[in-house]
Amino acid sequence: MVHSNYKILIIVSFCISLICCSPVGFKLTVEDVALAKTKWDDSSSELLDAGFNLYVAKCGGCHLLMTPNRYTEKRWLEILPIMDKKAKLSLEQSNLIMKYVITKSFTEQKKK
Amino acid sequence: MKNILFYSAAFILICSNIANAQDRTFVRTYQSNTLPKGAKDIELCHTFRTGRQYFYNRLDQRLELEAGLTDKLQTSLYLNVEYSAEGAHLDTLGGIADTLIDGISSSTLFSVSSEWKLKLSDPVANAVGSALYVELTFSPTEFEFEGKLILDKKTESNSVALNLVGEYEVGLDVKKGKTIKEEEFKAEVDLAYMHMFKPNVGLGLEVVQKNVLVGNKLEHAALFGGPSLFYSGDGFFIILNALPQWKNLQMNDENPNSLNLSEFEKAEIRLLIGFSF
Repeated sequence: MVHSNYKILIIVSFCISLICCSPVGFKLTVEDVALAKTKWDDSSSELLDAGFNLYVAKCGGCHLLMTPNRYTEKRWLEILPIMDKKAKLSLEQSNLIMKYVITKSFTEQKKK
Repeated sequence: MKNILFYSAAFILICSNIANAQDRTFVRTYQSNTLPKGAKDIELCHTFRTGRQYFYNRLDQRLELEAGLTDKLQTSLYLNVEYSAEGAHLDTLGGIADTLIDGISSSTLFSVSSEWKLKLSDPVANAVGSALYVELTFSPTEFEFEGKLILDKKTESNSVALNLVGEYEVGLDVKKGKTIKEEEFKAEVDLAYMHMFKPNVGLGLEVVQKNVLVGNKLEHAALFGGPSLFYSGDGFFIILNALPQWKNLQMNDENPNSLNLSEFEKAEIRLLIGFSF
């Protein structure tokens, strides 16, 4: 009985960890926060997190979510104004998403 | 007349200032994505079913209006029409075609459904996408409650999704002048895979295992599977799927053959068209 409960616990924990964890290309790191602070004075891990959550909800709801390093900063700055209109984002939401994708794009490309 | 209304609604939307459609890649298997808050979508679903022990053709049409209530909660209203035409038959026990009576009779069933989908995790940003789904359907002779657990994963060129579905159905019938209730429970497992050859063109496979329980007894079970073709453009998507029955999984006196053609059809073809506005 104890053994079967243990197995169930392992399976449930595995499922929860699968659901909650983010693939590497999206996950925010200390390095990302440090980089964002050098680019924008008001940056913080909370704001980058908010940008990530908005990116998943507003962009991923309509089309495949691209890993931020798919595009360069220059390309993101061309794409985002077009998508802002389609997704009807406020200026504040748009800025949060922009800071998240540009930060992740830069740090992920640097690793390569 | 019904068709005209459906196509008029679609045409008006095509001509309006549409932006982008939610990327749904399968016609039967649901994915965990929900529309962002304030986004709206319309979907037209046509299903043609054919082939039973006797002559049987059926056309199901669903008009779905979807809206994102929050970034993780989506609701939809469906208007459903089912038109079926079937050859006159008495009993077809054992798969023996009845030839005693002639003619074709047809029936039309109208119903409305309300769908609610709650996204729990994202199929791209999280390791596995997941969502909970509930649908309620009302018609003058039927009530249905359907629940789904949706799991999926998406990458740039591949999508895979799994649905575990349970459906409780109460139908009304009249026997010897008395109205009686008939209960049925359906369980279904849907599994789908799609490979995207281009960002807007994909080819995949959907497999469906259907089970019907009456009381606590499994009465019918069958396995279906077939190819799906996906195409999307700016503000719309089209998915076409053919789903032939592969195997009768619950052979008994009523359904002794390799295909169950008393409860299910030999094949289904479904066309799904979606627009955003």
